[in-house]
Amino acid sequence: MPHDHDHDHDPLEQGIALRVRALEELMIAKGLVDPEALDAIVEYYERETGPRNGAAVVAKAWSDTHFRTWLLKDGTAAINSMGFSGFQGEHIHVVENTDEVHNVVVCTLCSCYPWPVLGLPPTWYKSAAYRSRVIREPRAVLTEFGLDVPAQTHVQVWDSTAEIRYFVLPRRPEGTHDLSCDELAALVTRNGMIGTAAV
Amino acid sequence: MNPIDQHSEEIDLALRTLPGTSAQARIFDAPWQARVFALIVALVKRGHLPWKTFHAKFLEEMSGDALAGGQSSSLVERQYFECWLAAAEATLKDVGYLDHHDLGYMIAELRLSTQRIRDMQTKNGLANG
Repeated sequence: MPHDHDHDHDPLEQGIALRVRALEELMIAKGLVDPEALDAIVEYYERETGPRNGAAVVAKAWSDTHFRTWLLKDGTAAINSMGFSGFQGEHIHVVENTDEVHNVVVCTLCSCYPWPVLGLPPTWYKSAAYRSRVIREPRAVLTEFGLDVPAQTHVQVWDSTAEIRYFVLPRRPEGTHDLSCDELAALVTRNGMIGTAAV
Repeated sequence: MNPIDQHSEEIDLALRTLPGTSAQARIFDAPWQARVFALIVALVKRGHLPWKTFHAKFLEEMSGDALAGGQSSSLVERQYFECWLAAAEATLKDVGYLDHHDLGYMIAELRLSTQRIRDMQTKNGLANG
C-alpha cells in the first residue's frame, strides 16, 4: 500500500515524481529501505548538516596552529576529530590559500563534494558551465563570482573525484585576531571553502 | 494542476520568511529529487548497494548533454536529478533489485489507487452535497 509522504504532486499528472514514488515503493516492498529512513536522510541534509560544519573547521584551523598543520596533512582525520564524518567524507584533502596561491575546486565529471563539511553541492557547482569553464578560464569564472584574484597570485584548480574531495582553507581576514571561533566561523562562506569567494 | 501549484510563488515567499530557512538553504527543488537522492543514500548506507557501482552509472548519465550551460537553476537541478534517477534505475536493475516490468507495474498500481481514492471522494462529495 502506498504510504503517505508526498502531498505536493499529483500522481496522475506528473511522470517523474510518480516514477520516483514507484521506485521507492518497490524498494520498500523488497525490505531494502523504509520510508522513515528516507525521511531522516532528507531531514539530515536539509537541516542538520551543511557549510556551517566546514566553517567550524576553518575557524579552528585559523585559531589552532597544531590543528591547521594536522588538517593540511590529513584532512579526513582532522575533520573527523570534530565529529564531521560519514558518507562522501572519507577522503578529504585540504588545500590552503596563501599570498602565492588561490585554490578553487570543481568536479569536472559530475558533482563530487565533501558532504560532511559542506552539505550537498549548490546548483552552480553541478552545472556544465562551471564544470567546464573553471578549468579553462578560472580567473574569468572567479571574476563572475565577484572575486578578483591578484595577478601575482597563481590560481590552482583542483578536480574532485569519488576517490578524493578537495576543501579550501581560506586565508584568515585581517583584523580578526580578537574574534572567537564562533565569530570566525560566522565569517566563512560555503563559496570560500570551494574557492569561489575569498572567505 | 493541484491547488498548491497555483500558489507556488506565494508559498516560496512564505517559506523564505520562516526562521532558519532561506532560498540559499533550500537543498532540493522538488520532493521527488529529495526522495530519489535519499533512496540511493539509504541503500548504500545499509550495504545493499556499493556507492561506486551507482556512481559509475551516474557518471555515464552526466557525461551526456545534460546540464548544458545557460540554463535556469531549476532546470539544472531537474536535469541533475533526472540523471540521478536514471542511474538509480539502471543500477538497481544491474544488481537485481529491479525487474524490467516492476516499475511500470507499480506506476500503474499507484495511478489506479489514486484514481480509486478520487472516485470515492467525488462520490462522497456528491452524496454529501
